[in-house]
Formats: sequence, C-alpha cells, structure tokens
Amino acid sequence: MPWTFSTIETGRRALFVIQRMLDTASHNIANAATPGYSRQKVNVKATDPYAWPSQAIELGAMQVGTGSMVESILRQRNVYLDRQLRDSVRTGSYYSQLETMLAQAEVIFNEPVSGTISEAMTEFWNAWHEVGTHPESMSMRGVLKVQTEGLCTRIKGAYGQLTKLSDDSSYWVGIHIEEINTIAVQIADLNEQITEVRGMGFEPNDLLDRRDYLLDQLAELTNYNVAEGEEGGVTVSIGGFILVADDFTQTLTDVSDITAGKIGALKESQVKIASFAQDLNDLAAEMIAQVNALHTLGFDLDGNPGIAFFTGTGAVDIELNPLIANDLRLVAAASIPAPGNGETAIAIADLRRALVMAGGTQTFDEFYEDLVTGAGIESKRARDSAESQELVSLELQNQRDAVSGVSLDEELMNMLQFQRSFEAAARIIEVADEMMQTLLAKLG
Amino acid sequence: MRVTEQAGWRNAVYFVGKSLQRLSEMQVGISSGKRVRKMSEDPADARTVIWTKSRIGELEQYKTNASYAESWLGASDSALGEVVNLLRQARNLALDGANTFNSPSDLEAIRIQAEHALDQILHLANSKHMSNTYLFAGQDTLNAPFTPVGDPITQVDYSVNPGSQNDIYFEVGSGVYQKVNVRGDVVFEGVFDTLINLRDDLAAGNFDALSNDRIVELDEQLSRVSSIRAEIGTALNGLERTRGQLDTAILDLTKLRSDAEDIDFVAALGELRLRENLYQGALIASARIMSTNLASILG
Repeated sequence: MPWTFSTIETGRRALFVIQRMLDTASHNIANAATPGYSRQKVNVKATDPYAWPSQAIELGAMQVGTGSMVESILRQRNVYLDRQLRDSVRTGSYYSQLETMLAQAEVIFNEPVSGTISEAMTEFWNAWHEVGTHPESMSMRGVLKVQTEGLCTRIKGAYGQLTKLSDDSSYWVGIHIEEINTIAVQIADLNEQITEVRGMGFEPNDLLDRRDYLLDQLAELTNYNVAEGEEGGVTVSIGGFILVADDFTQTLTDVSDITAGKIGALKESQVKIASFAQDLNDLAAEMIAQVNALHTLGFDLDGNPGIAFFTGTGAVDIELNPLIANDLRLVAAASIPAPGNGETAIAIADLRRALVMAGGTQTFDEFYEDLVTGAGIESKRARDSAESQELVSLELQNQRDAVSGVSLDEELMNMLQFQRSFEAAARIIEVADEMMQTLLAKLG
Repeated sequence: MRVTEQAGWRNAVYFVGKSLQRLSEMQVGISSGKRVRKMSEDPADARTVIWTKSRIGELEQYKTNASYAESWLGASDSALGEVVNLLRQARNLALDGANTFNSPSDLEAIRIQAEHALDQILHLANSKHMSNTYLFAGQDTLNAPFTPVGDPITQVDYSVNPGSQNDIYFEVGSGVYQKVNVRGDVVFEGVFDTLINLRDDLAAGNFDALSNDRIVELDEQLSRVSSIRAEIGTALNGLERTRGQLDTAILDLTKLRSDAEDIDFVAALGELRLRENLYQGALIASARIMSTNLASILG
C-alpha cells in the first residue's frame, strides 16, 4: 500500500476501533443495572499485514502491520453458571413457595398459642366431668353445650380453611401456567429474531440476554429442559411436552410432569394440606362415633335412652345434636335411669384416655399433636431449606456477576485508556497529515 | 473474583435484610415473652407446650372433682354426726325408760322425746346437699330416700327407685375413682325399726324389751354409724393428700411448659445486643462498599 495514506488509514482504523470500544463501554455502563444484561466485550484483532520486500533479504519479506479491526462484540456469559443458578433458583422458589403455603396452614391451627382445637378438646372432656359430678344440674349441662359448640366451631373452621387453602393452590397453579405460556410466546418470538440476525452473520447479544432472562424467570416456576438448535433457536420442554421449539409454541395445560419450582411446590403443598384436612376429619369422625356410642347406651334426665350426641359425619359437619341443644335434659349422663347417676358422662370424659386413633395406638390428643407437630416440622424444613438455598443462589449470582456483570470502575478505567488511545491515534493522523503536507510542499 | 456494583448492592440487600430480620425476631420474642409462637419455630418444644397445657387442664379438673367430693363427704359426715348425737339421746331414753319405777306420766314424757328423736333422724336421713340433691339416696338423688308409713309412723321404707342402691363415684385422678356418698339403706339399717319400737315400748311400758333389746340395738347402731364416719374421715384425709399430689404434679407440668414456651430474658437480652451489633456492622460495611467509586475520585 502507498506509504502515507496507509499510515492515515491505520490511524483511521484505530479511531474506528476505539470508537466501537467506547460505544460498547457506554452501552455497558448504561445497562449496568439492567436485569439479565451481560456485559459486552469488543474483540479486536490485528488486520492482515501486507508484505514488503526487504532490502536486506532476497526472498524473505517483511510483514507490515496495518492496524486493528473489530472482530466481534460478544457478551460475556458462562452457560454452565446459568444452568447452576437456574437450578438453585428453582429449588429456592420451590421451598419458598412451600413454606408460604405451610405457614398459612400453621396459622389455621394457631397452635400452641390460644383459641385452638387442643384447648377446646380439654375443655370438652372437662365439661363432661362437670356433668358427671352434677348430673342433676342444668347449669353444668349448659356449660357442656357451650364447650361442645366451641369445639365443633373450631374443628369446622379449621377444616374449612384448610380445604380452601388447598383449593387456592389450584388457583395459583393456574396463574403460573398462564405466566409460563406468556414466557413461551416471548421466547418463540426471540428465537425467530435471533435466528434471523445470526443468519446475517451477527451476534444478537441483547436478544440473547433477553431470552436468557426469560429462561431465568421460567426456572422459578418449573423444571424444564432446554436445548439450543443449530440456527440459534432453543427448544424448551417440560417432561415430554414441548413448550417452545424455535418459533413454534404449544399451550401448557397439564402440570403432571412439573415437580419443581413454584408449581411443583404448589402441587406438593396441595397434597400435604389435603392430608392435614383428612387427618382432622378422621379425628372428628372418630370422636363423633365414640361419644355417640357411649351416649346412646346412657339415659337422660327423664330416664329415656340417650339419642345421638353429635350429628354429622366428620370435620365438615360435626355439630351438637340440635335436639339436645334445645333441651339439655336430653344429655344422657347416666348409665341407668337414676338422676344422680353420672357414670355415662364420666365414661365419655374418660374417652380422653382412650386409644382409638391411629389403629388403636393413640388418644385423640396424641393424634392431634402428631398432626400439628408434623405440619410444623414440614414448615420448618421448608423454611430452613429456602434460607440455605437463598445463600447458595446469592453466591452463584455473584459468580455470574463476576463473569457477566458490569463494573463501573472497570469501564471508567477502560474509558480513560480509550481516551488516551484516541488522542494517540488522532496524533498519528495529524503527524501523517503534516508529513504529507511537507512532502507536497517540497515536491509540489 | 470480579466484584461489580450489582454484586455489592445484592450482598448489602441480603445481609442487611437478614440481620434486620433476626433483630425483628428478637423484638417479637422479647416483647411477647414467648420463644415459641408457631409450631415451626421449634416443633419439639411447641409440642411440649400443647401436651402440658392439656394435661394441666385434665389435672385441674380432677382437683375440682376432688374438692366437690370433699364437699359431699363433709356434708354426709355433718349429718351423721348429728345422727350419732340423736342415737345417744335415744339410748339414754331407753335407759331411762327401762327404770321400772317410772310412772305412766314419766313414760309418756320419755315417749314424746323418743318420738321427737325419730322425727329428727328421719329428717336427717333425708338431708340434702347443696339444696337439691339427697345425700343418702344413692344415685336416686332427686327423690327423698326414706318414706314414713302411717301416722303415727309404723315403718320407714327406703326408696326402691333405680340407683337407690348404687354408689356415686367421682374421678379424682387418671383412672382413680372415689366413692363420695353413703347409702341410706346401709347407714340407717334397722335404725328406724329400733326407734319405732322404742317409742312403742315406752308407750306400752315394756321394761324388759327396753333394757334388753333396745339398748343393745342402739349400741350396735351407734357403733356402725361411728365407724362409717371414721371411714368418711379417712376418705377426706385421702382426698386432701390427693389434692396436694395434684398440685405438685400441676406445678411440675407448669414448669415444663414454661421452660419450653417462655423466653429466658437474660439470655435474650444478650442475644439482642449481639444482633444489634451485627445489624449495625452490616449497615456500615454495606455503606462503605457502595459509597465510593472511581468517578468520584477522578473528579
């Protein structure tokens, strides 16, 4: 290449490269806080040299450098870290969501504080003792009525709330499914754009960032597999169901393959909470059966055989028999038709010791304590797991940041360097220009 | 490892947030005085709170039952105390009446007193407890156990209603049942026959019967009623001991519950200070790392 102009060209190339680097640095700085952004780096390489015959060597040649060029602008990303972080976030979301649901179940039972079923059961058995020791007294029967109604209200209340909580899970699953489908459509859109841009030979960094960010969000909700196609589009599948394949999407409706993330947790909590409700129901059903069995063998204050004390079948409808609620003489405290006989009442009070739950191995109290303690243990485990996972995710995010994050200090230092380089490159042009002017002035 | 502003901010948010959370937990705990407010905070201790509460409730009920049993037994004992006095009086009347030197008018005076004694013992045998239940009627507590026949009384019948020959038991401990009544047909066995005969003997002047039969019978009855009173006394002592034992058990359970449920204030306040320091430390460290960057230095 001719002599002076080549130098100007080299300078020009330098200016151009430095401008690109400056552009990229400012892009990085502008996006330092953008979620999902990975910093971009300009890859500069030297342009091809030209050969210049050497006057010293006959056959050998010198290679004269011709400047620099931007080879590519790539985002700094570690795919492996992405995968690890998504797994961690997925697990953390799972436990966090599980804890949220189980914590609500705990509030429903409200043990061991007050206003609880265990307190109501204690008062219930005690009230039977009062009737048993004062079988002729209407006021003690009144106390029994109040305590019975209190117990029934608490059991029905807890059961109803647990059932509703379990149903709420389904509602939230529906909401999250919509989120998944929305994300899928967006990913398909990006797939199309990315493939187009790649097809033109460029690297669509920002589009890739956006797609990765969507995949991060998807990880909170569910487990999935992602595979990158040759042309740049990704295929996302959940179990055997293909959610996105390049620009094609399918609407997700069936969650049976989802076991992780928020939806996985909602499914799990729904099962657990339903089992709490079922246990409560078993407790109520057994109490109804046991009390009624003794009560119907007893005699009321008028010497008539006892009717059923409880109506209902379980925790959803356990109720003091309205006939008894309206006429307390019908409480069958006696074992024979004698007004001072309270033996049936005392026998019912003694049911508090009876091993009638869990296949004849536990009392009502023990069974209930197992139920609420079990719920507490599950809730604690979910919370502890969520907390420790949070720390893991934090660490992984920091590691991802180390690769992909923008350090303002770093960019600023680079920019100082660019400024100096720019001045120097401008200087080259200025010098080459002056030299050319000298030549022209002398020769022209 | 490269550290970016984002990482610094992220760590600050996390650690400051975490230490603030721990501080807040202490605040709730100390203010409420309870270290366990939900099962999940400490499942094992929370379970202890539940079962100790239930068991204390159960024992308190046994205490109540035991107190009421003492009331029953005490009332029976009082009534029987007066019965013993009346029986002694009757014995003296029999003794007086057996004196062959009594004139008919002497005998009449004694006979009137005997009649009086009969009426009073009948009245006592139909005593009520707490104004509505009969003490000596077994489980037939709403009906008077003893019904006189004839005027003047020729016999006194004991109730044959269901339950009149049953005893009443209260539960004063887990599986421990205490008899609280005295059956009328047991304690007053033969008493009315004896008193009726005493009155009739006095009216008729049967000196032999008075001195031989009536006095012997009254001695037997005095002995029986007194020994029944002694049994009541033993039962009352036993119940007092039972209540004492229940109190001790309740105290032990209360301590167990408190250990599980209540905050140890001294330890908690120390922990509070520690967490305050950690919170402040996190704030200071975060402020330092986020406040300076190159731009401010370059100027």
